[in-house]
Amino acid sequence: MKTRILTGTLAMAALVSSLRADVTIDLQVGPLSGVTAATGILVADTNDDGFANPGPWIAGQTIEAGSFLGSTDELIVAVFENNDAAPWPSDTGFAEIITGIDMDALGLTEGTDLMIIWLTAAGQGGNPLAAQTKVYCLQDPSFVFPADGATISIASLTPAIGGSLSENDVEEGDTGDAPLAIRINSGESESIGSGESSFFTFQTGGGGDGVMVMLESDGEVESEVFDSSGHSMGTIDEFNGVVPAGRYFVKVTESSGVGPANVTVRVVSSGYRPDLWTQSRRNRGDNMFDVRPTRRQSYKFVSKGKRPIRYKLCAENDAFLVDSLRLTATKPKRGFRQRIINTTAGVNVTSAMFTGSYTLKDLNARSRVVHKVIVKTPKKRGAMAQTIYIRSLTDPSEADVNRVFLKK
Amino acid sequence: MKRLLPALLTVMSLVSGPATVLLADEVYSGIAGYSEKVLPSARDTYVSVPVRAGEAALGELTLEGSPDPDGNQDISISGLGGWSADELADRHAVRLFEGVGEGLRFPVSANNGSTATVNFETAAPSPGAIVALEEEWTLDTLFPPATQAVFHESTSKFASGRRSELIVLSPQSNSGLVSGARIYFLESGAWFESGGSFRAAGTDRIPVDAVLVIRHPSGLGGTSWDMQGIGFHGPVASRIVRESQVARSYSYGLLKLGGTTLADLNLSAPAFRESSGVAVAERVDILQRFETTLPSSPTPAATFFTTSTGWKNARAGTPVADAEVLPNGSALVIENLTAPAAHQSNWIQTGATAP
Repeated sequence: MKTRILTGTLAMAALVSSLRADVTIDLQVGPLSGVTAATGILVADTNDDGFANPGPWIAGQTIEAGSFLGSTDELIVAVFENNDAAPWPSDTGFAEIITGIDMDALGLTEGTDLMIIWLTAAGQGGNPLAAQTKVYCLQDPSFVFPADGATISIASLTPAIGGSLSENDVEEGDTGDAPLAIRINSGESESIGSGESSFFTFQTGGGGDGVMVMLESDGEVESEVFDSSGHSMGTIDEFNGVVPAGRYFVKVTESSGVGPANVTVRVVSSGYRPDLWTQSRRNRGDNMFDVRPTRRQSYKFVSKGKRPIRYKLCAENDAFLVDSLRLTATKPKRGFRQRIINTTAGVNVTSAMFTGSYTLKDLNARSRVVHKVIVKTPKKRGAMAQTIYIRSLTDPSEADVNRVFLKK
Repeated sequence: MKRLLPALLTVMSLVSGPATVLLADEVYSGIAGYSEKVLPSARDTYVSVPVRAGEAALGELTLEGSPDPDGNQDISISGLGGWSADELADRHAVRLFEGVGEGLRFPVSANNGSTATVNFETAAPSPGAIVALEEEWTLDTLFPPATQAVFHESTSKFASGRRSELIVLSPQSNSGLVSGARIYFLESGAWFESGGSFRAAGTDRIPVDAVLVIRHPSGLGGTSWDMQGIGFHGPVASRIVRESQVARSYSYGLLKLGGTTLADLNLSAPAFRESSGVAVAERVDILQRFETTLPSSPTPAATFFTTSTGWKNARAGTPVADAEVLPNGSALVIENLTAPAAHQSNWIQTGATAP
């Protein structure tokens, strides 16, 4: 099946005239052998009641600034990825400049205690989802949120480079051996710095659902999708379609090298949705998909005198993926003569609909084909009922049905 | 009066022939009231002055053809040229003096002998508009490591060995947002940027309108920065940056150029806020005028502020005529006595016209 991609690009941001008070943190933690840091999380103890062990809370958590860890009062201040070019071997710590911490937006006050959490990875460049198997945290009395607008240093270094940090200072969270399967900024927006990468995850359901991943960016970015085993599924454009249920991972990299890109990854997991309805002033039946008899869409048309009955029948692909739709109709009662015209192609499809061979191939998502239906009624009084089906050829279980009553 | 020309020749060399565009009464002076900025120990010292390398040159803009699909526009500026290929690239910017982009700066990405390439984004000026070509400093040229006395050199790249730091809060492009801080330090005779791999940063540019924070740790003495000649040359147009709403006192070095009176300064809110009355407690922004004849004095020769009835002399709260004459070479400093709202504003002194 041909897959159409929606890759949106936001217009360049409008000029902004006011300044935002941000906090910048020069963070240096490490190096600790045996702790391979992949993702770092800075959390704040908003109620000043001490930090909970993040292990029980972090599994399955959406990790993004402004969220709380589970039901704790620990606010996520910033999420950052380890810089591959960190000065110590094997990425065993962090040396990061964390900028743009919006104190007002986060509701933080000066003096709030901070804690650093890091999620371990088996190696940089691999699949972070599979690798995130352990969580560590580090507290220090000197880790305190600064005044608005400040630039501060938060550092905890090992003796070899002038500090006193040891592995005993680092507490391991109890998460078990299973991958944490955390969600990092899933479906959310993030500013990705020049040449840097950021990470998005999403979960798909079963039942043959199609998945549409939409990437919006005001800069130049490259993207790649991985499955839960770390196998590349290609670019976002190549990934879209019907995929097995599971967790997927999108890596987005700012590729222009000239500045940050504001990126939003949206994931739409949708079943195929053929929709059939009569098009009138009130668009009767639009977006009704149910084929159960009690929810069946019914329409009644009455002919007066010699005038034929005319109405429009709309076949619409309401899914987010391209689909081929088949329309069938029961034959009319004797005396009723019917013509059904595909107005887009200008083709008489009456016979094909009766025989079940009429197919709208590769209909784009959210697009429709309108049919003109003309029914000449018998000279004498009479009535008939007709059933018209529309069915997804990709997933035949998805169908819609109309019942039309015609009366002379 | 001492003339300060350390970096002037660089840009002068870019200016060809007698069409050099300088204002008639242009002079050079110390910058922030007097030439030495004191940098105390255990403190952040904010320096908000336009650090322009050498003399900006004014001229009339000509748009050469149409912009490419990415918005890159070739331009020429009257009276300027004779450049070698890409001589201006990455260290020069074009500042607009009129139109929707008044006061904004746009980096030069490439040039040939007579044209430069810039991207005006949404602020494209009209042909014939007055623009200035400005050169930026780099870390190595503004604070040469070999002779550096402003900063205490770090003993290692890590926080444990960190001494003085230079924090650069730079306007992000022209969007009005202050970008994330960049933190630099001097170690082993070279500049490095903190974070990541601690890369060498001597060639990093310092945007003209950046706010610089010089941080000295405790336990080490204060230093001073002789700010003579760091760039208050040429026609005046600056972006006044206040980077947060916290109460701090910012200084803005302004040089009387082109104009001769208080009114010529063209100062108004939010760059310069009106006081509610003449009493000291009612004043919000003041303008100090310093003599720049040597030896320069840290005491202002005069202090002014505005109320709803016009300029006042702070010494007695007495009215001052808009026509109050400012001697040539005056160094002017705006002090915020109360916390200003965070903002950036473009300030352009009147009188900036091409000959």
